[in-house]
Amino acid sequence: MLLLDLLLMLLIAYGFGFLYYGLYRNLSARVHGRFGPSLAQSFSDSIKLFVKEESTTFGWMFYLGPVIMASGAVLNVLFIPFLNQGESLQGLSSYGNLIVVLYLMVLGPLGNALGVGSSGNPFGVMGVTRGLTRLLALELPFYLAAIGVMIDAGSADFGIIMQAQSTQSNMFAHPLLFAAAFISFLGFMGKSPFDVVGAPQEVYSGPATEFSGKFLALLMSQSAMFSFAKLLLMVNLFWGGADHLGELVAKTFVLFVAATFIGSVYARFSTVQSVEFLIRIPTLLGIVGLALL
Amino acid sequence: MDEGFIPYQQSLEDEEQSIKSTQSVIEQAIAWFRAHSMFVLAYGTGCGAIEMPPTFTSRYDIERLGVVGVATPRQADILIVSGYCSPKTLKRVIRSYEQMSEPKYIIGLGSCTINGGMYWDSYNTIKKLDDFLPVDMYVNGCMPRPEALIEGFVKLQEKIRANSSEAGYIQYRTRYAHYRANQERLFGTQVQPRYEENFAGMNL
Amino acid sequence: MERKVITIYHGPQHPGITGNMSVELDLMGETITRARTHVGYLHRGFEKLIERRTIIQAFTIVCRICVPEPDPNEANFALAVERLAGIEVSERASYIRVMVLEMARLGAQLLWMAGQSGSVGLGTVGQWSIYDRDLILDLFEQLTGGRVYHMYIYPGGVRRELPDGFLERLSALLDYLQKRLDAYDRLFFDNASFQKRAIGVGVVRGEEVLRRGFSGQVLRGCGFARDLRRDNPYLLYDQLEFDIPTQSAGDVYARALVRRAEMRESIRILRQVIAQMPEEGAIMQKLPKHRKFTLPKEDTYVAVESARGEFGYYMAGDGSEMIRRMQVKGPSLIHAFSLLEPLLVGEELSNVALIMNSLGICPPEIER
Ligand code: SF4
Repeated sequence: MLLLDLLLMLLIAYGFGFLYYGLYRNLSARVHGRFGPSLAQSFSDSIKLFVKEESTTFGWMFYLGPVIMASGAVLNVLFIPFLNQGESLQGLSSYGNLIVVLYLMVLGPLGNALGVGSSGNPFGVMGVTRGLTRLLALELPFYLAAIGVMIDAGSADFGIIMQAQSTQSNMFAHPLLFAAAFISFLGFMGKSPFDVVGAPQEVYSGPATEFSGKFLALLMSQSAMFSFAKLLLMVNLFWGGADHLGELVAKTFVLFVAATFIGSVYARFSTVQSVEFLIRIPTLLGIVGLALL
Repeated sequence: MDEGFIPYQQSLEDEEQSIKSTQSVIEQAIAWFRAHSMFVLAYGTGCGAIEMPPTFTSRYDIERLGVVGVATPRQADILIVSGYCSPKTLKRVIRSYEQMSEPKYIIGLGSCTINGGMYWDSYNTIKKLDDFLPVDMYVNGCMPRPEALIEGFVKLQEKIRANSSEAGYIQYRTRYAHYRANQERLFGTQVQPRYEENFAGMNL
Repeated sequence: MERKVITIYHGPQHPGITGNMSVELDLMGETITRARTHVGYLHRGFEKLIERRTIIQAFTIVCRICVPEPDPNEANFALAVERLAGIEVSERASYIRVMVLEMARLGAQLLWMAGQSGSVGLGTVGQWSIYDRDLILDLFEQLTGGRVYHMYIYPGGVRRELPDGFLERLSALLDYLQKRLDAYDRLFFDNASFQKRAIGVGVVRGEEVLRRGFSGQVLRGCGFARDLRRDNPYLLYDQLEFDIPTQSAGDVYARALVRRAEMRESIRILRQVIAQMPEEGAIMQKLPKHRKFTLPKEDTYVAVESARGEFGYYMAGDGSEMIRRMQVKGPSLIHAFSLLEPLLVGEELSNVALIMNSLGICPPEIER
């Protein structure tokens, strides 16, 4: 039964991940004043990439990178409960808690660093360095917010955190914490102004520079699933989770649209600027939020 | 309508039909996905590059067809050579092409890639791109309008779906000696490593 | 600890380069310790090709010297031939030329805006401004038949009469663009994140800039009101009213602000042209027959202000119908070598595209 549940969760995350990615391309196209591709475009892309032929090898370490990343994303999805009640779609959340999830979020980028490092491409290495630097700065405010939420609920368990919000969601109870988490969430999603990692005008596509074919497809799928996991995490921590699948879709959709629109009107900060910004504003918000608890 | 035209058109269509029927369902599906997801590496070799931004942005919005620009050759399916190539550029174009993973296609944009165009008597441009790299689709014009480029993409989609053995990347493997000889004639001693090493283990 | 210096090529196949050229960068971490510009990817041998072409043959290829803004080339070519052959141009033709040049300038600025905003990852601006530029290209198409290359300004005048209702459509477009410029102000120029990226980056300053032959927004961005339209008027610019916007900071943002003001000035000039253009009048002088169209044994230098700076042609005739020598001097050559190379040292890799775009470097015109 559990296995079936896990499979279902992965399928939902995969499907919605790609749907949201397609939606992202569509929405930003509307902001640009054009129609954009069809919703299923990202599916076509990933299938095409899966059947492409590889032209290069850089040794097994290189291929391990995307695999570690993908497993990080999969685990992340499995450890976050989709719903705040009932038996189904809970995944492994009874075996782990928020702290595990926060750890798992770092796994992917680290794995990628290993793989990219062995390709020897300077742009890839630069992208990874930027990614890790930014990650450090992103985590500080997010952890602060997560700690605040945990203190408030008195537990690190997702079920209890969501239960504690049944009267008032954390977003309104602790707006400062929410703001801190939301800003670093934008960064986790790779949206402007924190998209320095894969800035095409600077480092081609950063960490993905040397990947082609199947491994690029793997990277795409994992990033789609991973962003769904991040949406879930935000919904669970600050919006009290979802009673049923419909509510889940609605909540993640709103969050996603907000992130997309914000991302399309800001210029990209350079690495130093984004670290500076993240350390300053959201971290401060988080600290003040913690103090007000 | 001109009499000779219809049978010729008919023969082309028949050919396409017969190619289709020899493919299995899975092959057809894969070809469909390939045709509807094209990652483009737009190398702005010449002035044709200036019509690329309108094609890719909101006026003509080629992303509707599944065409997206990517930054690196590794991720690309289609290389657009947008105009005249000097030998120095051509070297980089060949490098980029050889880094792409198969199946891969080339679009030659503008008269300059076909026969030298405006620069037919210039001492520093190549006259025919097809001598050095297998071009799958030419878009003529000087400069080709975005509509022409879009039509080129649509035609290329048909070609990809037909999945024929005439495709450029297969030609490049099987007739590599020919292309290599032309490259060597142009570059003299300063040629790049041979491409063959990449597909040594493949079944040609 | 000894830190390793790596050398990378920024270009020619790179989304962050302004065309087919490359910059070789020595990087320490992400900081540039040395930059060298490489060109030669686009050399077509224009100046040699022109030596064996008659005037009408040369005319078809001069516009291809600079792709984003071909019309200053045509104007230069026409002005040079006219000066050598002693041809007078009618007033109406001059007005049409000014109109074409200003439309081209506006289009080039919009294209620049796309590049500049793309270099900081603000793709939305680029999508909008390329669309707006396309509307200008539509008008060009009605006027000349070509979107990008017009081949319209010919020695002796211009080649075609304005289509019916052209000026009305142009002024409708100007109204639209005026409104759009406000939108760009909000989204781009006044955007805090762009300001954060652009202020204090790529600073050019001092008296020295005058001696080293820089032009265009580089000069106007650090306080020198130099503009050939005012300093050395050609066509009818001495009868038109316009300001020369300047800024004093000399950084990327100052140059962006100068361009923003210039777009408004272009619209103002175009409005005046529409109001003042004579209804009637010849647009083309009677020219000698093709093979008899010879240039005397003299030489001349003409220059116009393009959207990026001084664009000059040196032309010499030798009494035959061929052009003996034509030399092109664009702003990019100087900017790409003697300005860009020192400017990049000490900058971050992230700022390379930003600085290159703001200097308006256009490779096809560096190497012809
Ligand atoms: S065909 Fe025309 S537009 Fe294209 S590169 Fe050649 S000269 Fe330029």
